[in-house]
This record gives sequence, structure tokens and C-alpha cells, in this order.
Amino acid sequence: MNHTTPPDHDPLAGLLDRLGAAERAAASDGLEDRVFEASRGELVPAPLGIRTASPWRNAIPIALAACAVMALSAAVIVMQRGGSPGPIAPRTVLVAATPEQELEGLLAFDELLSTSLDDDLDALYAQASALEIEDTSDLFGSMLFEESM
Amino acid sequence: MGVRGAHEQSITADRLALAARGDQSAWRELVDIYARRVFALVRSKGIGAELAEEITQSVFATCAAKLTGGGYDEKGRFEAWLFRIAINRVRDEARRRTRQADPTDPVHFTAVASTDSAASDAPLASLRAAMEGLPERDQEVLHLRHHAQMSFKQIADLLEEPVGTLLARHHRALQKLRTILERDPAVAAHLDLAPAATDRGRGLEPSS
Repeated sequence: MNHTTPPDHDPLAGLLDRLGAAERAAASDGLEDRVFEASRGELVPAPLGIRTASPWRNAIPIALAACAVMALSAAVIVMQRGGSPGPIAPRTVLVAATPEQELEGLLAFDELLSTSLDDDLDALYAQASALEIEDTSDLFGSMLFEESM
Repeated sequence: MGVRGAHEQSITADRLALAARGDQSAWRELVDIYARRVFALVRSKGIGAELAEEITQSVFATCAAKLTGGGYDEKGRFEAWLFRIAINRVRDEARRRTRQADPTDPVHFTAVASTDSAASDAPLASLRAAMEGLPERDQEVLHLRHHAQMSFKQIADLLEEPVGTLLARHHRALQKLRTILERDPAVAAHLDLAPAATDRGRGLEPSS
């Protein structure tokens, strides 16, 4: 949009333009040179964000992914065991009626080693009832003996 | 007076982008385009030539620092930003000198036309004196339009007022100026001012 002065004021606007031109010309020669010299030192560009290949650039995501996989694997293992994760402990093979019962007894004993004694006893009683073992008292006694060792 | 076209504005935008990255040749081109316009605007405030140049240098130094330091974010309104800095700098200088109040200072602000070349032309000297009789806001729009060569859109961006308001103010300022000048028939004749038409209405709408 080109806004122009109404025709009635053209002569006066023209005079004002002349006055403006005279003011601009009133500066001594070399004004632009002096202004440039006075300002060029301030023309300092901001430091560029130069990106270089970092040896850690790819390692960190891989490490994070590996941690996630390990954590997920540990969680799967814990879920399969049906309880809190336990350290790898020396196992005592229990004689059970079937391979499945043997495995259950093995896992139960493993959990026994990783929890407090009271909790262990509760867990043992609960699991012993699920095992088809004729003499649970002997089993309990043998476990206590091994625990005391 | 022509309005800066889109082509010129695109040139300025290109130079600004280069200057912001530290390109001194681009910055020199911007200085060449705007230095005298800033100088003229500063001079229009009644400042002597020497001090006006100092202020002009200061304005461009500030702009260069802000441009490369990320302080320019006017989205294409470079002129308004530049002249706003200039006006603020003039106001700062006026306040500083008011506090010092040294009337013997040779570069002290004067309200009377100085002896430099702009006032040596008698008609222009009369015009300048007549302008000083206008309200400050009217003077400002005339200075920005005719000394700094800003478009009404740029002036609107600078003063943060609607374009229509500025057009009306400019029109009224010219009417007042004419009235002042016509009080002295000799001056009016010297300025070759034809009597204004009074038997028809004058619209304040922009002619475009």
C-alpha cells in the first residue's frame, strides 16, 4: 500500500523533503567511513555450534539400550520366579517325587537363602505343603541343618 | 517521496542476514544506506552536527552488537528497530545534558536554526523554524517521514500506532505548518506556497 500526501500539500511536502535532504547532506564527508569504523568492532558473530563426531555419541545410546535389555531380562526372570529377585546361591539338590517337584524345591531353597529367616520359614511351610514329600518334618529339619552350616 | 519497495527491503534483509554472521562488507552496505538517515533524524532534534555524528556512531555500534549477539528479533522491521534506538539515544542524551545544564557547551542543544548548511538556505531555515512551532508529536512524524525517509508503515511499527492515525497526524501537521508559514506572506511567497483550497472537504483517508 503506497500512502501518499494529499495533492494540496504536495508543495509543502516537497519542501520538507528538501529540508530532509539538506539535513542528510549536512554531515561531513566520510560519515559512513567513520560510522563503519566505530561499529565494525561490535560485529562479532556468535560462536558456531560446531558438532564433531564424539566417540561417546553412539556408545551412550547403546549402553542405555543394553541396560534396558538387562533390566527387562532381570524382570522376566523375577516374574518367572514369582517373587523378589534373589542372588545366585549354592543349591542343594532336594529329593522330590517328580522332576517338577524337584525344581520347585530347588527354587524354594534358593529363595530361602535370599530372604530373612522368618520369611523363609513362612515360605518354606507354604511350599512344602505343595510338594508331595512324605516326611516334611525331615525335610524341614534337614534344611535347618543345612542353613546352620 | 517514494516508499521503499519490496525489492529494497529484500536487499536489506539479505544484508542483515550476512551482517548477523559477521560479514563486514554487508554491514558496510547497511551503514551506507542508513547512516545519513539516522544522522538527519538526530539532527532534526536540534542537535549539532558533531554530537549528531557521535550519536549516530553509537547507534550503529549498538545495532552491530545486538545483531550479532542475537538481540535483533524484529522480524523484518529493521528500520523501526534502528530508528527506535536512535530516538532513545537522543532522549538519553537530552536527559544527560539537562542534568548537566551547561549552556556554554558549544554542542548544546539549540532550538534555533544553526549556522550549518541546512539552515543557510533561507526558505529551509524558515521551514525549520516553523516546524519548531508544532507539537512534538507532529514534529516527530514529519521528521521520521521527511528526514529519516521512513514509510508510514515503518513509522507505525516504530511508534506502535496504527497507520491511519499517523496518516491523519501527518496531514494535520502539514495543515498547521502551512498556517504558520502563511502568517508571513513574504515567507509564504518565498516558499511558493499556493493558498490551500478551503471550499472542499479534505478526507483523511490514505490516497492509495
